[in-house]
Amino acid sequence: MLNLDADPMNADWTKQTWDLPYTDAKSLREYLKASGQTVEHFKQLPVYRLNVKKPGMEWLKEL
Amino acid sequence: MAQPLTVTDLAKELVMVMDELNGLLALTEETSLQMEAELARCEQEVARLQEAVKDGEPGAVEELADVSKWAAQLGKEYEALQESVTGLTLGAKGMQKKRKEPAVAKVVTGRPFTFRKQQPPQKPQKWVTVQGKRIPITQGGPPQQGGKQQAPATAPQTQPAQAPAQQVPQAAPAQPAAPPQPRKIGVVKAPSLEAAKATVKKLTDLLDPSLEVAGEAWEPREHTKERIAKTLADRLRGDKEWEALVGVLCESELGITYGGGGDYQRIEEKATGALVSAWAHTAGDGDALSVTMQRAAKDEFGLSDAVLDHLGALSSYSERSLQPGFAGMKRFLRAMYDETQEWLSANGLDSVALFRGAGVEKGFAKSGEVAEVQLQPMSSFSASPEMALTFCGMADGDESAVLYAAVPRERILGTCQSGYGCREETEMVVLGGSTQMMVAGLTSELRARLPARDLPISESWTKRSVNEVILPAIVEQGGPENAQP
Repeated sequence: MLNLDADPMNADWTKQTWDLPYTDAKSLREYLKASGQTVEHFKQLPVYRLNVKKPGMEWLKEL
Repeated sequence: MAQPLTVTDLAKELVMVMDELNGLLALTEETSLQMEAELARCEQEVARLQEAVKDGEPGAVEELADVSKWAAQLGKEYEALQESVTGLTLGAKGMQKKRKEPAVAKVVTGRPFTFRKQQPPQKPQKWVTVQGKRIPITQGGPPQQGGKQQAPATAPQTQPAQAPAQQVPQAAPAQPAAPPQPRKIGVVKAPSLEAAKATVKKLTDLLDPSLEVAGEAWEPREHTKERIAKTLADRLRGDKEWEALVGVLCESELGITYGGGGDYQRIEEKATGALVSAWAHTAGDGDALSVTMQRAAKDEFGLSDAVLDHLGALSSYSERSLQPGFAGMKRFLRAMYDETQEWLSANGLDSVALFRGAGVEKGFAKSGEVAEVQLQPMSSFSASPEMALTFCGMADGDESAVLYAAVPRERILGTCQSGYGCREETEMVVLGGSTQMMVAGLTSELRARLPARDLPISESWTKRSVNEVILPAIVEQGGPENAQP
């Protein structure tokens, strides 16, 4: 039986739209630091991978 | 000058005392069971030593005397405990009788309060004889966790203290009716293509209404998030477990700071907002808060067949720091569930047609087939087949698929209008487990049928795929007598 959520990309497939309240690299970096997550790990997440190349999301590349 | 006590103050105090009394009763029940087990062990030990005395084993007499003395002491304590249980139960019943106006408690706590019904004392079925004294031992298994009625494995469990607001608080009946069997997620087909299109449009319009559809009621995305945060905070206000979680979140500094003198209601709204945002960050994937929330959902809703293994283990530091907030997470999820159920009910949605895009292995299934899949406790879906197809172009793997399922409303934890979820994605979060979904379209087959050089960029290709392949796949060929998804 296929575990549909085993692949992180599949589990977070609805992160195609940026839905976090951070809209600049500085505030996002602060949030990640507070939540104990590294920028490197965040860049592996679907929410980053699915949004970083989108028009209007250029600021994500500054992370 | 001190303010005089109001009826509301007294009701609030009464609720607090009743909560404490419930806690005490749970503790005494647990202790009672432990003592029974210890007494049973003593009985076995006494029998063994009596044999040893007969056989003339050295030291057996002294040991028998010691064990008998200990068992007698234990027996006395056990009897005293039973008296305490009786006293506490009577006290609790008396207090409940005094609470004549349930509405007062509802105003104070923001939720109806139902006093937990205690199990009637069991008739002793077994006796232990220690030093000539007969001590009763009740038979049967341990009380259900928290004293609450255990719902079937797949049913969202209901906690009395978190019941939906419209329920009138009342004592549980002596013979509570069995909870209705939850409906399964499955493949219920639409009677016609037009019906399928109408169903999809209705739901997407409700989840992410355009200005044209909503008119003056339209709200920007940020306002939707703020409204959800406030609504959930209002539902949770006064809940001690929730307040413990707020404390944990403040310590973690997830955008929430509380110096002690600020507006606590605002802090609570920030906390609910932060938890909703955490879902927008990730549904799991090694993030301590998200993984712990998945565990809380599995626990709270009794999702025994929902999968968690892929989420991995957390560091001991994360486990320790989040553990004090675990019960509060369950309360938060229950509040979201209640809010979502009301939203679905208010919009006349008994079951919804949901889609999802997924990267799959080649040969996973064919278009039109029904596949058995497993889901984590909280799993993302969308009302939009277009959104699912768009993801297919970005998914990892050699093949990707648009999957469809009809999801009964009691399996929906959150929507982008009532909790977790992204509005632009018309997202709904489903309570997971093992389930069936239909493969509405494999992208390799779509490519063959609808040649496209620019998947997934082309909007027209996506629309054509949805209208010509995906939606027809969820239409029953048999006729219009079938239920709509």
